[in-house]
Parts: sequence; C-alpha cells; structure tokens
Amino acid sequence: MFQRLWLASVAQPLHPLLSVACAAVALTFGLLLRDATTLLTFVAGLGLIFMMVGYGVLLARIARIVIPLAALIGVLAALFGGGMSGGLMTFGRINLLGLTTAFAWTIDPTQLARALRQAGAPPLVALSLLITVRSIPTLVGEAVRIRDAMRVRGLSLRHTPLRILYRALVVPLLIRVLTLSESLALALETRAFTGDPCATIYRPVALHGRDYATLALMVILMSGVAGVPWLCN
Amino acid sequence: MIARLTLRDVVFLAVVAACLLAVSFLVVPLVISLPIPGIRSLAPSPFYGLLLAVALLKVRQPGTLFVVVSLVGLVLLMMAWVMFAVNVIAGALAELIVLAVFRSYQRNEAVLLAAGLYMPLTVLVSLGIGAVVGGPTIAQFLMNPWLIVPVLGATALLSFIGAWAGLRLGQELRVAGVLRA
Repeated sequence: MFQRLWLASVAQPLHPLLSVACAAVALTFGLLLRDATTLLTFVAGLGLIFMMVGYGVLLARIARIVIPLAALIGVLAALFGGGMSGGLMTFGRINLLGLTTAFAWTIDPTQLARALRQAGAPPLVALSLLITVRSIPTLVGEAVRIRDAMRVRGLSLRHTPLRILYRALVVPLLIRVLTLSESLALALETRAFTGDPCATIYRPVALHGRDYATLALMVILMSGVAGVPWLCN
Repeated sequence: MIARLTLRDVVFLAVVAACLLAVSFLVVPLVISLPIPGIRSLAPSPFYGLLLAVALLKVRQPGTLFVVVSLVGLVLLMMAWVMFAVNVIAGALAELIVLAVFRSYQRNEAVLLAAGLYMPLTVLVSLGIGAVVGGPTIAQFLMNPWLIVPVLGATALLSFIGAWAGLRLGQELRVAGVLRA
C-alpha cells in the first residue's frame, strides 16, 4: 500500500535494476567521502538529479521525514564527541541514506522480477523476491484483521498480558502465514510453474532515454565531487 | 542451494521473509531515533527468533536460514547495500556455526541455536561494517564495550527467548496438523 502511494508520486520510474545500482553506487560513494562539505554537496547534487528526472514530489515527501531525523541524530553525534564536523557528516549520511531509499520506493516489484529474469537470475530467485515484496501488505492486512478480531472480543494490544497476546495474535498470524504460503504454492503448481530457466518473459523491461540521462548525470556528479577537490589541491 | 528446495519450501520461506520485513517495518521506526548502536537489531529480535525457528522447523534443510535472510537482504538491497551485507554475512555465519556444530537441522537444538544466533550476529556485523565505513570517530564510538556488551547481551537474550517460543509454537502447530515438514 505504502509503496503504491510512493510509486504514484513518480510519473515514470527508472529501470528497476538501474535504480538498485544507482542507490548502491551513490551510497558507497557517499560513505567514502570523508569531508562534510563534499558530502553535503554530493547529497544536494543527488537531490537536484532527483528533481531533474521527475522525482521532485517524492523527494519532498522523503525530505519531510528524513531531514528532521538527520538533524536530531546529527546534533546528538556532535554533542557525543563528534564535534561540528562529525555532526554534519552524520546529518549528511542520514540524508544520503534517505535519498538512496527513494530509489527503492519507486521500484515496481513485478518489473524488478522481470528485469532480474532478463539479467539471467534463476526464476526461483526472482519469484521468491516478488513473493516477499508482494506479501508484506497482505501480512500487515492479516495482522490488522486479527487485531480487530481481538478488539471485538474485548482485548487491546496495550492492556493484554503477553501470554494471551501470544495466543490471540501470534498463533493465528502464523497459521495464516502457513495457509497463505500453501495456497500460493498450490496456485503456482496448478499454473505449471516449475522454475524452468528457459521460460519466456511476459513483458521485457527496456532501458529508456531517462535511464541513460540519469546514469550520465550521476557520473558527472560523482566525477565533479571527486575531481574538484583533487584539482584544487 | 535454492535448487534443493521444493517450490512449496521456496514460497513458504519467501512469505516468512515478508513476515520478517513487516515486523522490521513496524518495529524499527519506533526505535530508530534512539542513538544506541544495535537498537535496530535489538527491537525486532524476539520476532526474528520466533519466525526463523518456525521456518527452520518446517524446512529442515541446510541453507534455509541463509535463503530467508538473503531474501530479506535482497529487499533491503534496494535501499542500501549495507543492510544486505549485514543480513547475508550474519546469515552465512550463523548457518556455518550451526552446521559445524550439529551438521543438520534435524535436532531442535540446532534450530534453536540458528534462530537465536542470527540477530546477535547482525549486531556484531553491523557494528563492524559501521566502524569500517564510518571512519575513526565512529569506529571509536561504536567499539566502546560499555555500549556493545549490554546491547549484544539483550539482543541474544531476546532472540533466544523468541527462538524458544518459536520451537514451542512449532511443536503445537505440528500436533495440530498445521505445520508439516
């Protein structure tokens, strides 16, 4: 549900594998930076790229959550011996982490599974990843339904002893997990899914102009951030 | 490794991985603002212990733990490779330790050890990675034994309590005919 909400704020998401690669490279590059000014410049540049490729609304949503949290932890890091520079580094790193997660929020799991298959990943790996991502909202929904059933019987999460909570919440939830996985496996078997690596891909995922543009902008940003201090020295 | 598992096993492990992620997404935001290293592993550790124990009771194959935590890691890889690395390294270490001691998951003690050991190992691995990529200031802060020992001890305790509860629950579900290996 949440992912659909985030996904809706981006008109055209990037290629799923490119998103994962960009997130990994940006985070690694950011973590390697040892100077607060350079790190904050990189984070600002990354934010600018996000806006240029149409992720502006998503960026604003993430900034509302991440910037106050980063500021709080940055202040604590500065107070606990890191000093001004340590505090700024922590602030920059948490913002960087927030920005890189933005890539994740825009990935459609089905597209990711297809892209993984195209990249040569075994079908069972792509399928299990897809099931994992797709099952999270279902399981949260099940937990909410069980909680509602508890409320009907006069039990609340806060005022119920742990022993009864275990019986009333954990046991039914696990039974639902087991029945859900059984029915899902049965559905796959009845559709003759065998995990055959030669199976064709329903709709191949292609790289578009925006993907290449994002890649080029990332390369330019990282070259600039790494190159300018080196040239100055 | 995944090839030895049946389709039903893979689907079940994927749903368990989704359960673990759902627990993380519900519990971790409540504690993330606390500036205590390892708190993100401490908070969900009893749930992880419980769910991993149930997963290992159903699929008693070497590699089961690694597959579940790798699936969790693969989803987290979309956000940050560090979380993927922490999950996969801790999962591999827990699996290796248990298989070195028990050879398989046929005994309940092996299931308890694997499910209980995973979360404390994630604390150690995440502190190690944090110290390596964070630089000297953060390394000095993270390697303070007064911070590590209480968090590690509490995580291990909660994780083993969760794993023990998972074993009990698994046995109950087996008696009820819901959990079939």
